[in-house]
Amino acid sequence: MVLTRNDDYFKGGLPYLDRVIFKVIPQPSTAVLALEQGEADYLWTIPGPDIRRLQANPNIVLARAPAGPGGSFCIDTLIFNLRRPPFDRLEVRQAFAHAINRQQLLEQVYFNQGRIATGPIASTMAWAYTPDVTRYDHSPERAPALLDGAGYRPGPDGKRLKVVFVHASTYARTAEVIRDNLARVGVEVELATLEFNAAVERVFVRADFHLGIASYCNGPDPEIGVTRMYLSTNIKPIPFSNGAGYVNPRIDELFARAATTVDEGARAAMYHEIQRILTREVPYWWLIETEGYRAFRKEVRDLRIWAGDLLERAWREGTR
Amino acid sequence: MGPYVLRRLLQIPPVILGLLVLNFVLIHLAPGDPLYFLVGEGGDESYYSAIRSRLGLDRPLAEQLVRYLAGVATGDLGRSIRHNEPVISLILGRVPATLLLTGTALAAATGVGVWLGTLSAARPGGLLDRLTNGVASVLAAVPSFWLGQLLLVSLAGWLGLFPVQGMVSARLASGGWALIIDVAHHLVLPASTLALLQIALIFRLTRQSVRETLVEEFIRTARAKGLSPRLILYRHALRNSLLPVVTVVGGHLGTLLAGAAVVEVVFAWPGLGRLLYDAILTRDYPVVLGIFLVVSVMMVLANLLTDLTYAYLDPRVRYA
Repeated sequence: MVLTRNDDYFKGGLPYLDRVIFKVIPQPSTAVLALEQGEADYLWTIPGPDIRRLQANPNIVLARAPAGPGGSFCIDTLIFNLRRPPFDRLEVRQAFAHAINRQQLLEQVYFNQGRIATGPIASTMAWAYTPDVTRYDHSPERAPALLDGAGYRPGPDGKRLKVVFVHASTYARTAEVIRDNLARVGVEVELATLEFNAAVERVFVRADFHLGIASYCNGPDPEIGVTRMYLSTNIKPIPFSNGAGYVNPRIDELFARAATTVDEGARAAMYHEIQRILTREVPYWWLIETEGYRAFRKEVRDLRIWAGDLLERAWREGTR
Repeated sequence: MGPYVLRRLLQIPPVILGLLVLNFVLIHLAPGDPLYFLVGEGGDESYYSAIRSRLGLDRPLAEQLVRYLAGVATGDLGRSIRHNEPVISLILGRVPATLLLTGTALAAATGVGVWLGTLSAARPGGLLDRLTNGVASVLAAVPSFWLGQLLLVSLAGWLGLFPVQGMVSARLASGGWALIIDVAHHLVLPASTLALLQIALIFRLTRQSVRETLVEEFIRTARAKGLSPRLILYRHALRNSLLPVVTVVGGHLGTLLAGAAVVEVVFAWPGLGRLLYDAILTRDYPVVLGIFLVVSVMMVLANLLTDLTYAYLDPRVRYA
């Protein structure tokens, strides 16, 4: 795809670039090589294993940016299917929250591209976020008692229960870590690794799963990116809706009020209460607030990684 | 010969029709929905159903099939759901790149494979024979994406001899010879990847076949006549050994259009294989079916051509 300079742009003299070419390079390792060889100037997603090599490359600049497939302030989130056992029981959801080692996920799967989430709103959305919520630290030793309390005692083979974890193939490594974490507390996780389209259909349209996973992006406002996951009226057979099937009239009411309130302080208070309720009830389990690196060649100047106008003032050394 | 050709030609339409129906049913059986990719996040039900009915995806499957077949019968392959362009122009736009890649590879593989095969058959157990045989065994076992990445990392990455991806340099300003040289430069790695894999097969076939021919009595006669070993090898032995090689190369002709999908993805080559790969992931039914149809027709025609060559070479086939 080739974008050509708009000569009638309303800011005189801008942009500087005459042409911008977007190229799809399906193989991530090929894309990184293209950047290293100077065939490409800017790369907006980098495979974790390549980060160190690019950091060591003097011709390449790395910048952190909030990242996710669907926009900004994204949280990779486990979806508990609340409509059927075992996740209809709060204790089971809490046990999962304690058993899953998110620090391990962050280091081994995300290559430290992100941070551990604390709740339904990303910490980078500072005005609406509160850290003052119920936390579930990684303490697998607390899981057995919780599972006992929900009636899932160990069988003769030591297993307490089995759940089917439906996920897109892009989450395969996340899923493997989770399966391993849960095996340690007597929970067998059967992985159903599907291609993206098929996974979306099975989780959101057919609701045929125990455990699912998706990247839910909060941005640019909680009303747009957060509300849809929790409203009882948004339990619909469409992708990235309320996949858990969560119903709580108080939550519905708070979101409705926040949506029609103008004052930011008042809205924030409502979102804070929402975060406190949701972290108590864990209808989802928020894993990692994903961040990614963008990489560009050092000849490229004045890129604005953070803003919507990535290229307005960008120019390239040797071509200006 | 005439009746035989006619009989074979009459068999083609039902085969194509059968393939069309089979392809149609298969792609619709796969889970997933093109709309998940098209609409993405945040659509509501009415939006989904509006688009579904606009695309005709809300009709019963049988009706969709009949419509599709009726379209194909009049030369209309439909419109791409994702690109919103006629399928036929999408396909035709990609065919030259693929043919360039696969044609070059097949020609190179046939030349090199036959040449090496003949040489090593002339001295079984010699140094060349042992060397080429070993290399061919390894190549025959290697998957194409692995070989492609290996060539990419070594020749394009470390040594910087070739471009990493694509078919033309993004910054190339002029056409003419510069363009031809640029494309040829980009062609080397992907074509070599494909060719190396085919060479292995063609080499082994030629070698085996020539060795079998070399012990025939007419070769002994030729030797007794005092012909030079070179003449015997190339004129008498090779010619009589080429039938199985022709069969294999003919078979490859049928896969010329679709056989390079993996290599096209690794090298970001803008060909038909990559169009197919993307179309499958996004469930772009008309494009997938269109490519299947074109490939099927190619296969049927290549088979017909091979059979006719056989019938021409061997009269027994005609009357069987």
